Amino acid sequence: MGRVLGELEQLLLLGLLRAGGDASGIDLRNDLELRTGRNVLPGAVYTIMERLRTRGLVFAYTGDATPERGGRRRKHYRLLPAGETALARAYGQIAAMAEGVEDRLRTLLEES
Amino acid sequence: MSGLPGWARRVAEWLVTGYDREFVLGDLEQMFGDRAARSGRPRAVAWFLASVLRTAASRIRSGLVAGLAADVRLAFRQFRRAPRVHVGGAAVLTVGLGVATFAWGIYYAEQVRGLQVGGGDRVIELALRDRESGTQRPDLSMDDLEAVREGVPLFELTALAGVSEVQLNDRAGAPDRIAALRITPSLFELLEVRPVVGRLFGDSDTPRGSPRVAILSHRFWSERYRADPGIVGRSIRIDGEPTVVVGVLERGARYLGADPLWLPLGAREDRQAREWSALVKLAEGVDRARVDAALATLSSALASERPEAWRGRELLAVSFGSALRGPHTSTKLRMLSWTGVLLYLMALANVANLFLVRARVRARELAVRRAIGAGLPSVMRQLAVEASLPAGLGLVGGALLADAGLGWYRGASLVYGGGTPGPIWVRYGLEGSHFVLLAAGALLSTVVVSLIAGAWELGRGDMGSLSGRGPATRSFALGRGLLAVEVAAGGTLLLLSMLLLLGAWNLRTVDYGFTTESVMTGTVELGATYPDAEARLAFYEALELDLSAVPGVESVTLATQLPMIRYRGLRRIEVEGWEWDGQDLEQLPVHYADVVTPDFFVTFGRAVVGGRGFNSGDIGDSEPVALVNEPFAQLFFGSRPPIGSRVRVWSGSGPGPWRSIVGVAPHMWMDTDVNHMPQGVYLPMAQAPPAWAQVAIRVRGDPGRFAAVLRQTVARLDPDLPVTEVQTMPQLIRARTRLYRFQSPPFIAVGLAALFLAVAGLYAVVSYLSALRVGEFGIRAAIGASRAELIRRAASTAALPTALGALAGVGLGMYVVRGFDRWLFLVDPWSPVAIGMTVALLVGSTAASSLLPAFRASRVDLATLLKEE
Repeated sequence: MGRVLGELEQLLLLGLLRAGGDASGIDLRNDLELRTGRNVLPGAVYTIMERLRTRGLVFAYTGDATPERGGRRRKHYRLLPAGETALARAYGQIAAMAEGVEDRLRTLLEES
Repeated sequence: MSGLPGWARRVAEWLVTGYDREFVLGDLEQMFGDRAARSGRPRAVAWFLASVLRTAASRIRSGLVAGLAADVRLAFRQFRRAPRVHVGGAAVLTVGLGVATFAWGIYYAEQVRGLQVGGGDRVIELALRDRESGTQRPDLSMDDLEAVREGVPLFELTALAGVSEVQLNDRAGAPDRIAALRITPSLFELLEVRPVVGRLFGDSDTPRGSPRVAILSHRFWSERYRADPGIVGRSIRIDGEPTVVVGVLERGARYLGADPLWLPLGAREDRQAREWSALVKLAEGVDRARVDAALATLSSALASERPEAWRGRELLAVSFGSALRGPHTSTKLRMLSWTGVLLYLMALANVANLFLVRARVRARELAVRRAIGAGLPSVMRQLAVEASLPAGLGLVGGALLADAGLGWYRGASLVYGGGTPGPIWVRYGLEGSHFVLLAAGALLSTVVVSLIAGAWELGRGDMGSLSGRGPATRSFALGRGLLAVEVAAGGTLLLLSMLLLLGAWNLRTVDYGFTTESVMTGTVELGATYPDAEARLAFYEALELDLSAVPGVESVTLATQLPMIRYRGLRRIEVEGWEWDGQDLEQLPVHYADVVTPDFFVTFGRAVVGGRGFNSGDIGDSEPVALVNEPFAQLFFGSRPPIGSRVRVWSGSGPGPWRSIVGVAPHMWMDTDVNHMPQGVYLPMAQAPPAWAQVAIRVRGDPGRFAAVLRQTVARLDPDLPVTEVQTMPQLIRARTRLYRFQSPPFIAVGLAALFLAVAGLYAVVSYLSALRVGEFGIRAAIGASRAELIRRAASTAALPTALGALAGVGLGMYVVRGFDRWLFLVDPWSPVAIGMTVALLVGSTAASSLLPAFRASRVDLATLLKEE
């Protein structure tokens, strides 16, 4: 069993899963902001994704340059099976611990 | 197009770094376009710049940590690759920093630190200077201080203090002679001392006729009276006088030494006797210049009002602590501290040279790293980290060295002070603030020099080509000049070291002219209970008889001064026929006069060399006789036999009787002060029984076993009489020669450190110059230059500054050491042996340190060099 996934790592992997297993760095960042309200810097996203890449959980490749990016290319990520397993395991742990207290958590969330 | 202003894009491109730079900048620009559409371009630009700054800051933070870790790894790799430079740099810093902190620590402790009490920095001492002779003495009288108090209204407090030995008799222990600190009551206020039991002195304790009172130190109270509070109010006898103990001081309260007993200084003492050290505490806001001016005015006024006491004398304010050691020692200590600073600067210069060498050797590597894209800041950062490693080791080494040195000095000061602590303000130890200051300077200069050297090599732009080294060689004239100064300083200090080392050697090997083994000694001072000569003589004879009867005792003698141990023994001596006007005593020579019993010479393993020794017939009623020692006979009688001639000894009360010289005594050292004349005369004790006597017993076996015997024998004869300085003769000599043993080592240490630093500096300079000329050597080797020729060329680059430095150093040393003649035990300040050893060491070590890198440079091979190109 590899190192436990960090919170942002889990969120970005979930974003990648939601995107069908393939997304650019900026799409992952924007999705994260939209769904969680967390405003992270693009640089932070690439640092985390690079870490996941070196652990063999995602695959990275470079896309085409576009004018709205000032002629710069995008970086894309693809979820690998090891990444899916690691994500499932992390989610499973959260779900197991949350079992039976989902209602309480939901209430707390609504109140906050 | 996103519509991002070009300048904002350039700012972003300049600030954002890293492998993902393109994607981050692309994302930011794309997000800028979205925001500009939503909330307008200006707000989007502001957001963009803020995001760029946050990204850059985050990169710097994480990059620094990762970069530093990599730099530290690289630094260790460099350390392994060039251990000589790094270990050398660390060693040089260790020595420079350690010795500087050590030397400054001693000076600071004794002369600068001052009293650590409230307003202690305002406390100074007063001294009297004789205008004619220029001599300065720290001793003032009560009248002097009274005049100061009245004439100079600038002081908050004035106090007098002085130590004398008193005889203590009480029921708590054996009679003893102990140090008594006599003080004016104001000293307690100045020292901020409180009593734990009883009270301090008050004004009622000083007038004539008031009961005699004393205060005990906490330690003395605990040790002698088992901390019995009931001692307060009880009477003890001090110098035979009943004295009431009125208080016990708080723990740790002391001033000049252990100070077991404190006595009030008042009307019983002679008000005009100049024998007390005077302290004054300046009022708030008063500066030294005002005090100096006021004291000068007062001195002039006193000279006209009371010429008998003040003509030719002036009052001086001296810094606190300097009076105790005297002006000569103060000057030497100041010299020690400045020498420490000089060595520190030498160490920094040497480290600079070492890093110049290192940068030169690494020029190619630095240029390659820069060429393949390493930024200047990252190269500089790495150089800084690399330099920090040996610098850090040097700092740790320096702290340990200084701490060990000061620890040794602290211990030695106790040992040579006979176990008595020094004055309260003297605390030898590593002063954190000084060390931090020196260490920060060393670290900073090491790093800065390393950076400058690296930048210099990078700026040169070449990658170590065979050409282009000439200008650098010429520009290193400064380094060579520095080397000359280092070798000169090394030579000066080394000569001093050699002289002090020779003195230390003499101390171990000198023949004192008598046997010291198996001799136990002690001192008895008879005092007021033995008012006349008969009583004193009876006591001495009984003591000699009783000790002689103890099994194991081979011989016993009593004398006013044992060999080597001067004890108030200097007298004016008149030889019959010596021409003088009979009035001016100054015309009579001063020599030793020792009063001894007949077995004096036997006890020390010697016999008279001419005529006869003293015998039982030399008593009070018989003809007064004397012996003269060999140097005395030589000086006053030359080849004539002195026997039959007459001498007489003068004292404060006038001349003694004429005495016939009946024999010539062997030359035995009469004093540890080797600078004093060795001439002396001996008088028989039965004809001049003194008020005090030192006892020496020669025994079979370990003399230490007879310490108790000596005490018990005296106690049987007189239970109230203390015996002091009970120790073996070698112990006594060690204690009396502490000046040479205790004060010399710091100077020996700085001398050897200076040699080490000069050698390290030379090594670095020759290495550097050889590294610069490696291409030239390669070509010379290729066209037939022999190895010896190359070595000569490499080594000769530093030959001239080394030779000039050595010459200047030894010359300066010969001038400087004249001030140390009192510290040199049987060594001529211009000793050819010391000068020869200095020159040999200097030449040998500098030759070795320049030949070693020259030898390495001579192994250069042109083919290898070209391959590297």
